[in-house]
Amino acid sequence: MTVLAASDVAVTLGGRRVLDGVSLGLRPGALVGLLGPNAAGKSTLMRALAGLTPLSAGAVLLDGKPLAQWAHAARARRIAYLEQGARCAWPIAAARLVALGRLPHLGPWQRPAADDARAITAALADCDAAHLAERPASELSGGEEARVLLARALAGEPAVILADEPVARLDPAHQLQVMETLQRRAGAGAAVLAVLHDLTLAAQFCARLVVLDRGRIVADGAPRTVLTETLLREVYGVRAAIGERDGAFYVVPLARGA
Amino acid sequence: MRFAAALAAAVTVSSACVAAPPARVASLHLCADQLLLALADRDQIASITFLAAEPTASVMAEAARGLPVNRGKAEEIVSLRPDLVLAGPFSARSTVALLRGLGGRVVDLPYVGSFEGIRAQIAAVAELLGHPERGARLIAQMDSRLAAVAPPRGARLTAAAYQPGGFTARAGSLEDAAIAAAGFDNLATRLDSGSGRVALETLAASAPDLLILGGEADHLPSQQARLLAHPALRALPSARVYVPARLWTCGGWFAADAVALLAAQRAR
Amino acid sequence: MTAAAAPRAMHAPSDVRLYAVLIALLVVLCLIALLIGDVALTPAELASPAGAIILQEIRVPRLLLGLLMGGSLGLSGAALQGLLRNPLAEPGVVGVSATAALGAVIVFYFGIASAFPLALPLAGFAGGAVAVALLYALAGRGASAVTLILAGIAIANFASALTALALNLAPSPYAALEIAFWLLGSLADRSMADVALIAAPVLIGWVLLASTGRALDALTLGDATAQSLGVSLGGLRLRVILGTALAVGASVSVAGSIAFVGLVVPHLLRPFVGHEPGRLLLPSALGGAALLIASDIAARLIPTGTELRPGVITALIGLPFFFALVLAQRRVQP
Repeated sequence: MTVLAASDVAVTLGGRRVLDGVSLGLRPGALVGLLGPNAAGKSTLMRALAGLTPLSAGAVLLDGKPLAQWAHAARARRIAYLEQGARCAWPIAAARLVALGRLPHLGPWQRPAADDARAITAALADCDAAHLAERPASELSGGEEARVLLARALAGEPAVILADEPVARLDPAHQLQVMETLQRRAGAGAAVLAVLHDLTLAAQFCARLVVLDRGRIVADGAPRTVLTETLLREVYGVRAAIGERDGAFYVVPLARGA
Repeated sequence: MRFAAALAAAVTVSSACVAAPPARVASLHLCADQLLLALADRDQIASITFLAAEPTASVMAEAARGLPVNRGKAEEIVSLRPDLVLAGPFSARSTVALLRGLGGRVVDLPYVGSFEGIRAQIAAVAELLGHPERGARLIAQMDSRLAAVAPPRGARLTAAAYQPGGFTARAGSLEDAAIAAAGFDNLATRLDSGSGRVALETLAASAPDLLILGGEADHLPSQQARLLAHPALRALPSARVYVPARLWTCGGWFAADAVALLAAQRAR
Repeated sequence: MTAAAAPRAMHAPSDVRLYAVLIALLVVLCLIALLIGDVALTPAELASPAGAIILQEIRVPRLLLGLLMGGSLGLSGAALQGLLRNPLAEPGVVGVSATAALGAVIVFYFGIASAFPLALPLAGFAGGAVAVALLYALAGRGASAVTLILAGIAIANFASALTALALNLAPSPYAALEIAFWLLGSLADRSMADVALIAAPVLIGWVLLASTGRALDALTLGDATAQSLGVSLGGLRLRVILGTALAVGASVSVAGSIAFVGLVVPHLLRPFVGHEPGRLLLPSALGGAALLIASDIAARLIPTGTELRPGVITALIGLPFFFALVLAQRRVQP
């Protein structure tokens, strides 16, 4: 039972076909990694799945119903979108930033209540950012800000999490921590799709990988099936060492070209 | 009185130079226009300003019809080669200097702020034009009008003039003299802080017996004209009289009409 | 960690103390404004017939107009800054006041407003709406501070030039001299008719602007995130544009253009509301009203021959703020 599905989606931006014939289904309880070279259309696909980009063909279905038919707030309660490289415009306290994630749950004049407080606290703890709660967003390091922004996405207790490069600015320890958090959320029933550039990290945490190249899906399956030398050469244009060590699957790019 | 003496001196000097009355006279200013129209022969008038023919601005508008008009620029005057040019209190200094530099004879008519000044100016211009008897007649007309409405002795009522922007009749102005001649105390001289304006609050607090309105262009929309429609002004218990500005902007015999209008209010 | 032990910041923070201070300040300023004027009147004298006229027809309208206009400037300044994510935005700087004045001048001096009084605030609204829409097209979507200021300067100067032209072409001989009224504003000698004329558009504008709080909070994280949180960006932009044009446009149409209130007030109050755009809105309205009333009181107390324009005082206060903000921005993004 797919919760969010793209059905033969095409997106045209500035005259260029960025996505073509993309069909992808996300099921609850799974952490899926979205891979692909730069300008493959990964961010566009994320935005299309979040309902932020108009489609030139196909449809995105949430719980079986096209996104266009969903009310804004209802859709926002189900899907959380974590933008790539988002910055906070004003130096608001980190906890208040995370509280923004509860906005879809609040009625027009409703003030946040115990439920909201609980979700915010849990989200901060999940991302190891509880100690940052009172700090202004402008005083956080890149990594700290990234974790707070993730907490914002989690605070809404969404059914679907679309994370565009959630580990881009993090040190290795925090990269692993964020991936563990996403894995936990998936385990708790969310459908998570994360754009990743670190192939080893993707292989380690995602049970399923989807590879996008020039607007089309070229691979969709388990990491061992998807990450082959052929794919790496054809899609990424690199020669890589692929192997296993201490039970962990690794992919290390070695040189460009064949 | 200083103005009258100065003007008389200027006229004497110029009269000494030219014996015969000027054949062609041009005027650069509305106030000079009206004197010219009243005192000169029609064929003596070479040019008057365009304002002289405007009924709202000039009391001699009818008489001005058909005469050549100018807009106060030196070019227009020079080509006419007049024997005499009359300039008014606020004629452009550059224009006057230019005409003098070209060899023309320009007489400056100063601003008059009193009835003595009016008499002196009428007499001086009539002399200049070679028709002193007409000047005397005009002065006599004005004086008899003034005498007819002369106020009785005793307590005087208060009056205040109010124009767009809150401007009022300053001390030493012709309006001030006319108000006094009609038998009123000019309240504005007491209320005015020196800027020539009276604040609306101040006027509302002092409530003169008579409110004098009728500034130029009151009916055309402007922020200053709006002031005259303010509820606080309308709420004043004062009697109101409308005196057209053209009666007392220039110092002429017609200022007596303004006095008559004001004096008529005494009866109310 | 239980909900009770959660940091206070997580729950909706309360701004009661801030509101109390602002309201108290405003009440005091209102009382002072009613007690001072061109004529020194004791409270007892104000009860007399002449004094009552002065109070009701001159001072009360002046105060009400100051409240309506000051509140509009503060509120719209906060909303514009939230929408454009830039602390330099405010109706004066971005040219809204200047274009509103242009609209009002055209309608006022050429007799249209004499025939149809509502045309005046409508023209102010139209001018203001054009400016905000133009500004958003030129410098919306996270443009740099420099772009924003340049766009605002272009719009404001163009509008001011056209205003001067319109005044020169106007029938009334007084018109050409009234440019100072439109560029620097005046609350003097307004009447209850003026207040009645703009009350409805201003209050509607306030409702529209006040409703944007939540959406502006969401916008802190950018367009995409805000949309993903359920905010309709088009709807938000429309509410800010219409709200600003109604409230500021109508105010300017009867009192001229007064700048910098919408810049100074949100800047001063922002630290007290945790820098959150939503919480900043209503306090900015109160603060804006207080600042304008205070400027008006100062203008009446400083003895000058001709009327000292409130816009002069707000500019003297606001320009140092403006420079400080520009310098701060340069340090962040050179």
